[in-house]
Amino acid sequence: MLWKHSLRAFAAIWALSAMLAVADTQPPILFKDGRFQPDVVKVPANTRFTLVIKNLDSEPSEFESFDLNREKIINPGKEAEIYLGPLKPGDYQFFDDFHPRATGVIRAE
Amino acid sequence: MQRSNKTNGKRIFRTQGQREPRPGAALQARRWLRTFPFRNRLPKADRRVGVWGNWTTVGLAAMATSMICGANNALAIDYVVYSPLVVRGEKEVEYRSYYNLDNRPEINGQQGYRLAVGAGLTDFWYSDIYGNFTKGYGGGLKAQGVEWENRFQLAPQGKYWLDMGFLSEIEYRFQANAPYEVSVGPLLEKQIGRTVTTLNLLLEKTFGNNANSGVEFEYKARLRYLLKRALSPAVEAYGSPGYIGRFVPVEAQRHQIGPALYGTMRTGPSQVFSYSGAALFGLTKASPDLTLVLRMEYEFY
Repeated sequence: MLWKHSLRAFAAIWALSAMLAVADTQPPILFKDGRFQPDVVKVPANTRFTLVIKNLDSEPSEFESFDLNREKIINPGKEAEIYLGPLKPGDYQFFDDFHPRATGVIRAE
Repeated sequence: MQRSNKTNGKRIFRTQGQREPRPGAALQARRWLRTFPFRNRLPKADRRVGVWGNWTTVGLAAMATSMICGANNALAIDYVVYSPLVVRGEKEVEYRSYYNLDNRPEINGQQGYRLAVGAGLTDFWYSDIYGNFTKGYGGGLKAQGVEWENRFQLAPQGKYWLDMGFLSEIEYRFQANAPYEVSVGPLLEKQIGRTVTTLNLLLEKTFGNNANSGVEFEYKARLRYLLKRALSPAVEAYGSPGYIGRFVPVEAQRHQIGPALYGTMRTGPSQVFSYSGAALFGLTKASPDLTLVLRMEYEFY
């Protein structure tokens, strides 16, 4: 009985969350030659959006941001979707722990 | 002599004109917690702490006995709040420990240590193997058991309003005739701006020899503010009201809350060192007065 109630509650939370899913995909960020391109990405403030990161290099890349609380590893030749927002206007740093030169900023405006 | 019956149902005698000490906030919170669930359901005459004193004593005695005998898993409390998020390819070596400070000798000095290795096996599955060590009343440090823990991220981070995951773990204890323990439950996380709220709701059941009938409920919660990568403040809370359907009186339940600090430091290419600590204050009699928690992780890819 308890398990049934727990499962129902969990399913209800899941369904509610699914209804509030993100849309609005931004132009992709490319990881190439050990850097993010572009390294300044302008996004709309106070809106939910999706970033696509494409790794065009021959080694794994990481998209990490303490400001945004995100961390994702992207294998060579693969891409990853990062769901973000709504963000207050401002700059949000991101970096790649595998490649210290690879840094960038998401600018919400 | 003047008789006062204000403190915990005990009769305390004071000389004429001597004032009662003003209770601190922690004591007031304990008194409030002790009576809250029952306050409005009892006849007025029974709305006094003394009615529950006997039950509290029984609960505390059972808990203390089991702690001393090592018959249950009370020492193996895992002071960590799990995020539902998993990073594929991440590997880690982890250390976690706690130390209890309390006026009661059977609780003071209790310690627990966990050493783990783990890896993010896929984008949604993280697996850890733990070795658990504890030190209880009058004993030395003992290997308590090994644990296999799996965390599952149920959706990409941020895609839905709430980030959700699921935890399952099974513990084998070295003690003769000790039961296996299985824990399962949802891991929930919500980020609003720089504030991240995480909640774990766990159900624990023992199987095999000397297994308890019933399912124990445990919660873990954290409110963390993303201030700086090297140091972020948080508040953590841990507790267990007991077995579902037969919660023990509030004073015999374990509830702890306190401040915490989190940080991460880059130690080399693809390597980070993470650390966190917490000071947890007991809100009930059954909880240790103060628990100090230290956690360290070395992560690499």
